[in-house]
Amino acid sequence: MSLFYLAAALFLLGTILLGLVRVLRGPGSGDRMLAAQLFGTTGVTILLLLSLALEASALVDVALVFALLAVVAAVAFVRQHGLPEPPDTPIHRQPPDTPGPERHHDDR
Amino acid sequence: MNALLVLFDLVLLAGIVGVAWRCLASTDLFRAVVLFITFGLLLALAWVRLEAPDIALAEAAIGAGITGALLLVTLERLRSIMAERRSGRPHSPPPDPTGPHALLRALHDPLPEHRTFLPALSFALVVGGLLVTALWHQPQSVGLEPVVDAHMDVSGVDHPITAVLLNFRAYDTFLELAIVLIALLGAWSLGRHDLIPARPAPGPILPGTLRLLVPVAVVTGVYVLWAGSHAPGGAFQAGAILGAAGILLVLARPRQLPMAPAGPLRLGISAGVALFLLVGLYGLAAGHGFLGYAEAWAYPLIILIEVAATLSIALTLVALFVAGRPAGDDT
Repeated sequence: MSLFYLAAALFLLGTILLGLVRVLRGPGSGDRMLAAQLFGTTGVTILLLLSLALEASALVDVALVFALLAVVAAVAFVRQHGLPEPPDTPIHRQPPDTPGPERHHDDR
Repeated sequence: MNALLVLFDLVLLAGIVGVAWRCLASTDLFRAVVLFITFGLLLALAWVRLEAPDIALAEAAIGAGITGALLLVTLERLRSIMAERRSGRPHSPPPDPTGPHALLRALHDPLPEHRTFLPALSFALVVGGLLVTALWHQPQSVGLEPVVDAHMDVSGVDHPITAVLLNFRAYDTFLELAIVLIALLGAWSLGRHDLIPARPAPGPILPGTLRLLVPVAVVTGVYVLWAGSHAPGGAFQAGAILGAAGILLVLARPRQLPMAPAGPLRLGISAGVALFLLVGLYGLAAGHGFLGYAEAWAYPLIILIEVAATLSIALTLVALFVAGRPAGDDT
């Protein structure tokens, strides 16, 4: 049975390498990010299969952490590309002489 | 089974080398970031195959989670800085090639390839030669594993890696924590930056996800900390998971939250190093040597240090992510 798990893990690793085409070609940022997110899901599955095949139960914890934290990069992406921008966010700066309570200029 | 494992390792190795190459060679910075996230995933699998689940856990938390978000936010800031620089000052004098922004410009306007090829090649050859020489003369030995195994009964914990990190070689871990603290001081000394702006989320998915994920991440962090005494896990991994939960909150907050008060924040950030130092000095005074524990007290002391270190690492990661001193302490 562990042979089957290992073969499945190898197959999934192959799908990651195949999916790299989407990361390299794009064309959009969303395509690339979504491919990386799917790699995360595949990685969780590979870790679970390896933990069965190699009888290493600690790998389940690694898979758990992966499943939890892959979303951090997605959230960082979504708030840049998916959300509407309020007009007065400090990151899209106004002219430097606009007074603002939270803004500090180091070199301008 | 063995042939299949070898094949798995070879495919993994090819993937890691290929992704690293494309990541470094990519001219599109966003693509490079996504490739780096993929690189972290493959690297975690490699640590698993090297039978180092502790490092795989840390790589999963930091490589797949935190670094990706950090690089994406950095890219966002870099783009807005460059856009402002290009549009804001069309008649500015030619910039100083050795000035503080030379690195920033070099990222966007790299040197032509024929000028970087020879230095890069010679650098690669020298580093590769040094690595090969070092590995060639590696003495045949079994390492320190038998020594650690023989002393596990006095370490106070059941997991050999935790025993090494927090008992036998506590000095190394103490200095590592100090380095994390110094890194944050270095970032703070660069001045204050604009916070990542708060943005209201359109729709229920992002707030709903956070409401589900953040409590689970906190529970997982505490679990990984607790697991460290008998299985892979420990303070660094738990701190990274809790830090990632904090970063999620910082990234997805719908409105500005009040900044953390400076005093308690500094106390929490330095708690790990301070407590470690206190315990070490107590050991010195009690005659066990610096950072030595009495055998009966080893387990509670290790747990105490790990809890404080987890708190400090989590706070430090979030503070590094936010970057810049907390407001209101310029004095």
